[in-house]
Amino acid sequence: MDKILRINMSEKGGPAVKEEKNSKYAGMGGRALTTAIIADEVHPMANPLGEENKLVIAPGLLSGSAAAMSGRISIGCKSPLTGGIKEANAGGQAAQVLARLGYAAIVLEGKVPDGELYKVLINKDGVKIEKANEYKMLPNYDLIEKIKASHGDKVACISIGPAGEMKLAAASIACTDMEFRPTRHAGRGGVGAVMGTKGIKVIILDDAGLENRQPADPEKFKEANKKFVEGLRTHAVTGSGLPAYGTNVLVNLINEAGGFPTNNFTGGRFANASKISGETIADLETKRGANPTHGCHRGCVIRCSGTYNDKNGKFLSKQPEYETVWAHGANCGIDDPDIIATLDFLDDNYGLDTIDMGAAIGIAMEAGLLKFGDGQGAINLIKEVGKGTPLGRIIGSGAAVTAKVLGVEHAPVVKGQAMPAYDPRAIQGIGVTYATSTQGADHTAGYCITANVLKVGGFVDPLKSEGQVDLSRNLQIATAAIDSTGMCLFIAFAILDQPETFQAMIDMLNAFYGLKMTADDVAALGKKILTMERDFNKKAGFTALDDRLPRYFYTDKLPPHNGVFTVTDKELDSVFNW
Amino acid sequence: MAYDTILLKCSSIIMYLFMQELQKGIYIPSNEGKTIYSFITEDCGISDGYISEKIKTMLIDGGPVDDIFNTTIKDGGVCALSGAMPGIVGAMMRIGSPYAAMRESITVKPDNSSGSKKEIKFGLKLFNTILSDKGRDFFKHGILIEKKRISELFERYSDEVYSNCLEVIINGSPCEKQQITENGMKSLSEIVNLKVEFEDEN
Repeated sequence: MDKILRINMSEKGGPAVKEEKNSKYAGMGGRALTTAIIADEVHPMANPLGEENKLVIAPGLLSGSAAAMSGRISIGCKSPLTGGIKEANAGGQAAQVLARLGYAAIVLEGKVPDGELYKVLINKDGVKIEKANEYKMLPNYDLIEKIKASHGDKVACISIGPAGEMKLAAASIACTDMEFRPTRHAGRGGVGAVMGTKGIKVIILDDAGLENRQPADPEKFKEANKKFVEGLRTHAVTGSGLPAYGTNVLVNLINEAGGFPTNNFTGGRFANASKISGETIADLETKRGANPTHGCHRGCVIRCSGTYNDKNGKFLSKQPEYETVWAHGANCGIDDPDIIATLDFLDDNYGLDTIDMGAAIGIAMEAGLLKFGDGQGAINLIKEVGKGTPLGRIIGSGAAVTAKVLGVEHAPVVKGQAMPAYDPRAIQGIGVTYATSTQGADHTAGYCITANVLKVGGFVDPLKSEGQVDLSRNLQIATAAIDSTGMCLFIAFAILDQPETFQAMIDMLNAFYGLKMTADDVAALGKKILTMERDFNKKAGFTALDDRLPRYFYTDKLPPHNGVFTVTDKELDSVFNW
Repeated sequence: MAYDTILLKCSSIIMYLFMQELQKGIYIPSNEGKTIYSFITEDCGISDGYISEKIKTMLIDGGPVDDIFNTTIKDGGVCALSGAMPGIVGAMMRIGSPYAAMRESITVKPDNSSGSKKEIKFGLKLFNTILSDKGRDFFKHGILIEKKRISELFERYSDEVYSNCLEVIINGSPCEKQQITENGMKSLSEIVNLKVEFEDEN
């Protein structure tokens, strides 16, 4: 994994391919690498849809190896949704295959002449780029069927749907899963729109004839990997809760805690939460012959994904994630799992971020375009996006744009990006991360729960009410570092409670690269990434005033706790003081 | 407090329908002022070992509980029991979470008041692993639930329920399944003691 592949789409005579040795960014992977390249090579004032922007696709440091859970791929650019730096990541097979092909990153540069569309094929023999105008406006599932016919189902694909081709600000990038379905998405920030500007519909990755990447110290690596897997399997969350119910297991709990945003964030509890809970949906999946326990990439031992069948036992979508069930469920007042799974499928098919789509539809409901709870109406709205109608393009541009166009005051966004499934008026600490993240409102920006293991920024006393700013800082640092390894963030639960599992992960990195990293080095990496991202955003015009929640979160009480967001501006401004 | 009793003997095929009722919430008879720990061990019959090993998250009236030995229950309250949950917010909600500061505004503060000791029916919700481990036991021993919810369940899932509910016994007397309607249960108390035996149980 010592090469960087650059494809310049602006060159006269067609796309120009350049392969270079990765010397400048050596030792970086995943988010560290995407951030470093964007910060270094993209002008902060560049238009995200313009020629100067770049799209960087990078597997993690351990991707393509035998390391468990190492299948995340990072995709970075300047975001058309937030106007700041962006890293969105996804599971699926692409990270493993790209790493085995030896690439630390693919960098898409320039801008394709209007109307042209290409496909890229990468295998052990090299890189081939061909015109692919026959794929124009194909939804992801249809596209992948065509790729299957021409290349078989052993390859991995990175693709965009019609939303990306239309350069909509909520467009995602799809990665195929183990069953060669386009179900895993780098969803946030409009990364799909940037891929659309490059005119690349699909990157086909074929690792036939290639082996796993080999560690510097195979014995130590094997031992560390074994301990790491044991830690994941014995932990209550990664060993039983997630495999049994998936991430949607959170519905009941967050709803009960009064932090489950309902009807466009006007309430914290959804009366029919039990109808869409992880427990209910897992039962339904089993009853219909689907599989509620399934990995999204080879080497996954948590297996929090699953498949969802319709009433006739036919595949309808992947098991909808918690964020999707919330966004298209409670946030739109919809309590029918079949409708939610259909919306999930449509998002994946057109290539859209489910969080921003659910938030945009919730806003459309508040505006009176349709009623809360109108499932068929929500399906029709997403289909409008797929057709590219004027209304569809508005919805597909995300929650912030939809609210402006429809004249709705309550737009639950930070830096233009929709908030995920936790209301910060009930759960104040998550609001600190939403407000200050370099990525816009993003629950995964402060997801990695290693704060007190790493002790970055000082140890936080759990018995004191103070400290949510310190915790958010530590969580964001730790997450940025883990995002660089290619590890799924869900390992966080095991490494929170089991320091030996955290150590096993560091031992794996050390054994693989022949390093002597410590927890301090991991923290330093996280800080370095965040510093680069903050600097980029500052140069792009962001100020402290962008690190705030929308005003109504400070004034409008959220039932049932009737709280408002109370973290002060001064506290928010201290998050990145190091 | 006296409640009418409904015993259903069903195929375990429809157990999942009843499990939704435990997610929505049922009642357990108790006494005001009891600690939440005593409520769970004495009134719900859950062992101390199970609490420490499996119940990682506990909410009362939507607020996370950290001190289960000094937090008391009150009439009209609801407790939710859950295993360890994923996500940073899932981690915040855990009993004694290192991230408790991030949800401090909704945390339930310990309250040593002994209360009136009067008889109450306290709300209980079971989620995820706790639901799958203990749900069946609750139905076996009986739960308090609004009779309307039973008739609604029979009505909404009539095909499945009618073909998989084998016997209905109300206050000790066998009845027709068709009696489980709002009209058919008119004479019963608003809240009933519901027991469900699933067919593969001994």
